[in-house]
Amino acid sequence: MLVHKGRCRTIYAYRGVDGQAPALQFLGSLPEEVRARYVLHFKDMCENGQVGGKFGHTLASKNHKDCRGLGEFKDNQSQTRVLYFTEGSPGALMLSHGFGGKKEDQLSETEIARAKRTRDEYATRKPAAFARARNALVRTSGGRKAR
Amino acid sequence: MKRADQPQGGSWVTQQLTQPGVRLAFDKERATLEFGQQLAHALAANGMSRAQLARNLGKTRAYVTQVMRDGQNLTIKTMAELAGACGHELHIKLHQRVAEGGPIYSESGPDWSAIRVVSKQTMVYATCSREVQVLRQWTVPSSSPRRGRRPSAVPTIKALLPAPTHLWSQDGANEFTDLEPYAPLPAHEE
Repeated sequence: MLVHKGRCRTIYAYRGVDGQAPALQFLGSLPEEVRARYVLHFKDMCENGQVGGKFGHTLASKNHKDCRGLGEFKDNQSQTRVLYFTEGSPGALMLSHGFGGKKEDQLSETEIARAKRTRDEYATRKPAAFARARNALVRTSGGRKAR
Repeated sequence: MKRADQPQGGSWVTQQLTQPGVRLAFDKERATLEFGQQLAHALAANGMSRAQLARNLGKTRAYVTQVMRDGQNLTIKTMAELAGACGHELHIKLHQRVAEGGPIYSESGPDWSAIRVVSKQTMVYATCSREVQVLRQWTVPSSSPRRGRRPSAVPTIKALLPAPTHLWSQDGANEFTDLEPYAPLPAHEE
């Protein structure tokens, strides 16, 4: 699901097989002030290509070499985080899920593992989704395939 | 194809901004963020530290740290004091409210998603400012001190960015061209 599209980046929220988007469900449960800050950070990321170090960063580090492509938006005032992974298309990010009650920079392995699972699940489902989209395009163009 | 659970207005952000409470909080947070970013940039532009700012204000460092903390509700007089202490003026301007939230102030920085390596000696990165996206192209001279061998210290893009004036630019000048737009992204809907 589209979260926001800007000049530099596009943010999507991952929707699972059951049709639920965990990140948007989490964001929807937050108070208005916190939601407004996330809206601000999402817009900043999409329009300007980056957010300040206080509001988000990537997770790949010396200790987490396998976290390449994973990152997080964070709001220290409400102690909440929303994890994302790079989708593969230029500038596209996919929100994985969110959670609260976290103030320190170090993330728990459980949450990182959940984001990785979501990323793997998306990578598995992506080819089929693209094939369906391509077939839909072929149908709408009168059955003619582009050479 | 539009799905039933697709946010109205095209995106989740647009949908949120239609809610009066979220929109009001968004406007407040944006004003706070923008002032903080502009102040930090003014300090950096003048080569000032927070300690120097505190000395100029005649206050303690703790005071400066407190007022520059996120989410601080500063008065206009305090903001003018801070701006004046780092050699700037405070101007407040009202803009017509737009549905999509309007732009967010940000200093032009490298867009890491748009880095392109053209050749071994040419590194290209894109910066995104508020008005225009530009492409900067820096060329490292081909004449290496040790001809035919890789230079001992190959500069990385990150190392080059803080001091771009130390670089050799192509044809003696920086080249700014329009950044090519991203290719349209495929639909993710199923």
